[in-house]
Amino acid sequence: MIKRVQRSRTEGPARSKTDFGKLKLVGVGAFVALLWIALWTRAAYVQLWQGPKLERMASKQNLAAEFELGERGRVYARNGALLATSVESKSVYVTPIEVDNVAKTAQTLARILGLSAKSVEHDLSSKKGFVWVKRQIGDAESQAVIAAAMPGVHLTNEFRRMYPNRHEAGQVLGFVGVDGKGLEGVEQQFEDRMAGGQAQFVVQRDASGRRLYLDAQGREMNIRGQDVRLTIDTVVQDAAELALAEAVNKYNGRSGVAIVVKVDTGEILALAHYPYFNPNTYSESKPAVRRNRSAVDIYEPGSVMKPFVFAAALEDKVIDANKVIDCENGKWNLRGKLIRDTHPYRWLSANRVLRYSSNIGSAKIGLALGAKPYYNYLRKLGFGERPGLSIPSESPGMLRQPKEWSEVDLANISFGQGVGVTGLQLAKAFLVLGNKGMTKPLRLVADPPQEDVPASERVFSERTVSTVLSMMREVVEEDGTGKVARIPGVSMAGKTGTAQKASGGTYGTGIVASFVGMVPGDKPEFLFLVSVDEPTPVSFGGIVCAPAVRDIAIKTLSYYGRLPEGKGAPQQDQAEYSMKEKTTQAPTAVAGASVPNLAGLPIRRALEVLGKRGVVPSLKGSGMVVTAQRPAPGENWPDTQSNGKDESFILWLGQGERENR
Amino acid sequence: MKGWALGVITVACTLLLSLSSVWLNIERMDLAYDINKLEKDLAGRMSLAAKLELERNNLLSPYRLKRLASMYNLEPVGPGQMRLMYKPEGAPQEPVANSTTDN
Repeated sequence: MIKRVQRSRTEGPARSKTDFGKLKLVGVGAFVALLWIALWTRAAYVQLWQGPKLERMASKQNLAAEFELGERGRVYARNGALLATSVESKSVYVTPIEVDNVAKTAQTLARILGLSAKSVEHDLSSKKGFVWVKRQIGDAESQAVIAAAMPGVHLTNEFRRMYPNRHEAGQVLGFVGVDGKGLEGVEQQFEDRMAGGQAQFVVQRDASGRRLYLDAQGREMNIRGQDVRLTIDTVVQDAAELALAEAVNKYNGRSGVAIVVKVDTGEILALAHYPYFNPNTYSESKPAVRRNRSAVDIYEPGSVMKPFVFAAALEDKVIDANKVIDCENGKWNLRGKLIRDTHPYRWLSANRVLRYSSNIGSAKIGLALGAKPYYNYLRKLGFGERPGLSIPSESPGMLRQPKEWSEVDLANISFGQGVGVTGLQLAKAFLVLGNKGMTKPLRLVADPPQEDVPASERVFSERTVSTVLSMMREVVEEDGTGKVARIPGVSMAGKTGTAQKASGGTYGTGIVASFVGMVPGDKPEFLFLVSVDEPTPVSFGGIVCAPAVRDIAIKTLSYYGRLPEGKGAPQQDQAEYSMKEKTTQAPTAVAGASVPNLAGLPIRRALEVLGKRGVVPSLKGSGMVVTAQRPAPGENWPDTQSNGKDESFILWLGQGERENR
Repeated sequence: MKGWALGVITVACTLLLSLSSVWLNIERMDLAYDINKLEKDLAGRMSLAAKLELERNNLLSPYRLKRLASMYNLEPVGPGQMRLMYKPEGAPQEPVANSTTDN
């Protein structure tokens, strides 16, 4: 009973409290539920309804799309020398609105960049949001701009095209504009291949604006342009440019072209032009200087064309080498047109007609051959069509249809007047003679390989070519017009050209002198062509151009190890004696029973001493003077015949006195 | 009891995963900064290498070598002055200068 009373006492007030608590719980639960629902609703609203918009806004804040431009492909020579490359350089631009003190900033920028303060101040006062001040500046200048820390002055990276060999092969290479686009020459020809690609990728920016790469999007792409390798050899090119410059300057010529071709492959080893063009400073040169004259300029070649009329006539059996031709004592009237020879001759055999370059004799051979056959041969030789090197603005020359040729025209064309050719066309035609009568395309680019190479075609028989080459050898080796080009011990087949320039429908006083030489004269390996425009006072190809061909040929042959080797003891020239006097020890070393002391000797002399023992040393270090050697002086000679690779004889080289000074 | 333990494990795992996620994010940002720095370093070195290669080619260009040669009264070889001390097998179709050892 007591228990029941107690339970009833305790149960009574408890029931009333539970009811109130439940209410509170329900209230709190409802509040939490509402809050929860509100949060979820808000989250859903933000994420589902406003999500795309907010995502776009956020992306603008911390994500950015960036572009990256790839480096332009390089140009290499056949000997691995770098002819053109791109290096990163800075360009300066300003945001005028951010510039604090215009006058002071302008003065500082002008001093650093070598500009006029007035023009920089004008740039800084611009109302534009972005103004270039100077593009592609040097490293020292960019460091100075960074150090100056001028508000509103910014630097950006750009690629700058550089040509380490300066003017070498300048007209062949062409140049690249400030925006990185090839504008002339190989740079223009291979623009699609060499131009760097563009990659776009997304970067994340942090609070301080630093870029963080999110992924590899775009960066994995190869955006670097592809390289181009030319057949040009920088050593031969340099030899050609030097000899050409000397010929043009010595005879006051307006311009000149020199071409060297490797006969067995048709590869152009040198394509030189003068005046020089330096692509590093292309804006300082006139368009006429930048022109690739060998491919673009048409001129009447003159007597240098005569070997072709001889070859055609021999091939068609119109003449033979011994046929005697009346050269009319130097003056011949053909249908009212007077044809002259430089020197009067009466009766000359065919080979002498070529040797003495008789216009009258050649005209008679051409007339005997006929217009149509000669035209066909000229077409087969490549005249009247582009040489196929795909050089921009390559000219097809000028060769009229034979039906338009009068008798006088045929006579003129026989000695190279009345026909327009380019230097490359001429080289291509002579390549047929060098290549045993078969056509061979000229090549200027080794990589990428040329597509659609025309099939080789026979133009002349080997017998005909052999006869013509024999006649051309007489031009150089006998008392012909090209004897100045003679190189002792080297057989050369050549032909001179001294052509009048047509101007305003008539021939003026201007002359184009030229000389073509092929070495060796019986089985040519190298073809050399030099032409000089308007040389004065002397204008004969045999005097103006033949020495240049000789010079180029000597350097090319020595470079290829083709010059005839000296016999007997080497003769020491004056230059070497003068050099010996300046060495610390007298070069008395001789190849005796034991190893001599070579220290202090010029490397050239040391090699000669060792060469007598058949030893080719291994060279270490750089310099022109021997500083140490192994084996030491007085020791026995090495057992084996050293070839320079087994290091049985080592010479250490150092700097000479002159260089140290 | 089993339900309580499962709950604790779930909470612990969630906590662990959350912490891992935070840690990974921090690491990712660190790596991104490092990569950024290394990429800048690489770009700088590549740019320098390109400039050095340009300089090397300029120093080896014929006009530079000619200037150096003239200091020593060296001039191109003439006919009869050349001696080939080492001839590679077969006729040298390529320049002899290319067949020498580059020291």
